[in-house]
Amino acid sequence: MLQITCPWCGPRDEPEFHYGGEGMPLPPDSTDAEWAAVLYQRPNPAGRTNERWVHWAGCRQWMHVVRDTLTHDIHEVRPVRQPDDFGSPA
Amino acid sequence: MIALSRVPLAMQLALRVRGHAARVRLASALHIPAMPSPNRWTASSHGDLLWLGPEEFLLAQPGSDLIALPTFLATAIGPSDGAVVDVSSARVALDLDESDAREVLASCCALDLHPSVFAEDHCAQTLIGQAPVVLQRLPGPSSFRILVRPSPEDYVTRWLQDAIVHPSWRVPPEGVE
Repeated sequence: MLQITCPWCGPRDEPEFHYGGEGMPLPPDSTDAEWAAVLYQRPNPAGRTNERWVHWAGCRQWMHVVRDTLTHDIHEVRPVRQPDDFGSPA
Repeated sequence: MIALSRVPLAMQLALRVRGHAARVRLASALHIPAMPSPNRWTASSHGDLLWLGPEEFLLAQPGSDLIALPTFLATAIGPSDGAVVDVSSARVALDLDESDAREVLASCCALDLHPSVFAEDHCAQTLIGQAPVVLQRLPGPSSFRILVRPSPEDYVTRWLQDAIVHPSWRVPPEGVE
């Protein structure tokens, strides 16, 4: 089971979290095709990925999680400070 | 003996407060030196104050002086720095007061509740079985308060009563106490 270290609550098991997708900016002025690409065509890289998770059963805060999709190692967890904070590329 | 009892809480208030100045005003109104830090609770002049989130607290008030309390706290916070919402019906309180309370909880809760990790001023939001709860360590050797939504109360109670009735279901602590 994944264990994610919430910036506020410390290490907690994965069932307390929901996956919020890969952290990527949503372009405000885009064509339908570009929107579809953002929403449905995920890069799905093998390796380090910048993801967003929410600690729904705990503090209900969103956080960036840099996770390796091959090893499940979690390299970094930090809170989402602003609504337009999409994290830096992993 | 089943040491699981439902505790009446006269009022629960959700307090949202933004900014240092408003937190200081609210702490002063509750007669505490500062608002509790993450996953901690403190006894205030108006009941137990639990940390729920970076800007969110729960005040669980056992009684007295209720009608004026939300307005009093909202005035202390200020009109633009947060809010006070009456959530008295949102959760029921179950007190688990048993010498093996930690082992009973370990049958259904993944959190490490050893006193060295989860001390007397600690609280946490976590899962019992699949039900979200607020877990509050009470003063005393082995006492916990479980604040749970009314609809999964029966589910949580059955989890705990099973572990109370069947000692073999409990998870013994690892290592030396």
